Amino acid sequence: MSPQHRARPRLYVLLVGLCLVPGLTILAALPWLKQQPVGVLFLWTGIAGAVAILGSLVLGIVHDRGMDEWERSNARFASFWGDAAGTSLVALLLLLPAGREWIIAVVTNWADASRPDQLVFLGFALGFAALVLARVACMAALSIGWSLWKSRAVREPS
Amino acid sequence: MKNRIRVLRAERQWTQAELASRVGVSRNSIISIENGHFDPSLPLAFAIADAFDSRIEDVFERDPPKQGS
Repeated sequence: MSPQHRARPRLYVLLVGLCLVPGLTILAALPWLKQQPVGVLFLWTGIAGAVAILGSLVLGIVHDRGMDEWERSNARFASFWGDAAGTSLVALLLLLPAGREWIIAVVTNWADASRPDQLVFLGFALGFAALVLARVACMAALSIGWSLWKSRAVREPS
Repeated sequence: MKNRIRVLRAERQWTQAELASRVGVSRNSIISIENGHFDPSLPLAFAIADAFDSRIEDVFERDPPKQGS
């Protein structure tokens, strides 16, 4: 971590919280939200999504300003290949019959099967969430891998 | 690109973290540069040389030119 990042730990904690808490709150309130009218569900998830997106944007800007060139190279590599890998994973999920069945099971479990509009919207929203999560997970894994690879010790010639 | 960062650090009894702090970069940067797995930009190379109060040529060794170039 560059000295610039170490200087502002509280800000980082606040911004990470801003990214995570809305989503966790929605998950915790899901049983109650399922009983509410669709408009209420969309309102609260929309607010949670907007707060999380805003937090992640600010976090990205703050983090970007403090990065040194090594960290930028890491971010560039992880972003480029993580994006491709995460998108490919979701595409693979859609191709596999087991993946399609799982998606249908999740959507029909959460939405009212007699409401096609709910099914469609929830399927779309979950697909978007899956894509974001897959890309983030792949970027994180590649970032860690790049960091470990670049930090490896030099093998002394025998 | 080869370098003498480890030797110069040892002469001054600096840790990698200490050098990173003096230069204003992360410790991971110093580790990668020192081990030859990451080539610094020119400004960073100059900053590292300045930290050692040395010329950049005394810290970094240019790779030999490729045959045929």
